[in-house]
Amino acid sequence: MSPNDRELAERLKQRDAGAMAELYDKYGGLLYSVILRAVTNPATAEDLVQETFLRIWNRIHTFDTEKGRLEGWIVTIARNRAIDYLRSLRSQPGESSATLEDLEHSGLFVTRETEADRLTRRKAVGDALERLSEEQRAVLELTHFQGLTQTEIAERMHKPLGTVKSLVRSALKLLRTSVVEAGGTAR
Amino acid sequence: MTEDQYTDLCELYAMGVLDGEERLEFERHLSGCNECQAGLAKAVELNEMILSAAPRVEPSPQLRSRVLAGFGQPAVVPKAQSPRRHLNWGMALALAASVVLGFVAWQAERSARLNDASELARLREIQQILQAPTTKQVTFGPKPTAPHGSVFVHEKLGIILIAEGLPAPPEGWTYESWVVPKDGAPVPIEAFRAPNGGGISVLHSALPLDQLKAVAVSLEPASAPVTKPTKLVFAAPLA
Repeated sequence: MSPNDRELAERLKQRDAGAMAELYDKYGGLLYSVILRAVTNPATAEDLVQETFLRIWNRIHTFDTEKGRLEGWIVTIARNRAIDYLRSLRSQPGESSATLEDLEHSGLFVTRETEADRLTRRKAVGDALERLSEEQRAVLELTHFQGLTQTEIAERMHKPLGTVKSLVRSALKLLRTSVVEAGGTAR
Repeated sequence: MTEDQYTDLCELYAMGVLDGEERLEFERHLSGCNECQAGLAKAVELNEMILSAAPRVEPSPQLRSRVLAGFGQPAVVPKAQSPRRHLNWGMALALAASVVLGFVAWQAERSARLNDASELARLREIQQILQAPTTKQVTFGPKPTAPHGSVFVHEKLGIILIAEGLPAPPEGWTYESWVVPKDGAPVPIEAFRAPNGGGISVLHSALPLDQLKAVAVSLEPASAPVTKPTKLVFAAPLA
């Protein structure tokens, strides 16, 4: 995590409301963009951004300021608020919401490399996304921004489940490879 | 399932989109697999990069004030706001909520035809609150010569303020809507537009509904940032 983000997270933990303003100025546009991509309605997106910042404020005590990556954590919180909302429209609240909450555990958002390395890899992933086929992009859009399972995607796209799984697997493989080529580690 | 197949599921697990059985199987495997535990951290990072690749769109300038108002920050509301067509609430207010709803629906259809996405979104939001079965209506100011109207309150969707009987603001002044917490200072929400003496506002607050006691409208100098009510015009209790 960058020193600035570490300091920001520390100040948030100390209930410094001024740090919230800095957090908004730094990441508000990003969080809004992620949520809008999912829900498509600007008014709903703004409501969910508000919810996201409230959640960050209420859960910042669980964030590990030494090892944690603030940006990754808050982007995931924003995305999950949007998915919760979409699932409530599809009448699928409950279990799925609890699952998403589990996946906001800050221990998952650890810093492994420098900020510069991360920016390089992020650009590589952005470029790789451009190289995906239309169908590969479509399935990732549905998993990441719409919160659909592969079974749900198969139903929505009127494709066999095996085809969807293959599309998801190949898309993610290409993105992982781009990370490795940009200097990240394989797994 | 092979090790490679489990590894392939890391990103989907981290996004919470594995089907029930598959998720349970992955979790059972994850607890005893160091490779997948390490893979999960990398998957989380890859997911974040995919999400962050969403095309950047800037929210409205008002969102900053709305977000920060809930954290005790001076909520400076920008004066420059996008032009918005105004509804004639003077007549609609005198009628029942169901008629207001019809009017909103008609305006929404008109906005859709005109491709006015932001206004359409606002009208749909109003429609949603008015239509919700648990929305409560509180009227205020029974005197027809003074500001009067209704507040529609929905615990989760928000608050709608409909008011009329407002004199035209003096030159250089504008109306501003507020939510008033039970404890603490009033929080500005947005400019309250009242053409022909009536207007409607959707009031979003970061504070939970049970921490609010009223909504209000004030007169504010158009040239200065809004930080606290300058001239209170009316306050309407929420219960």
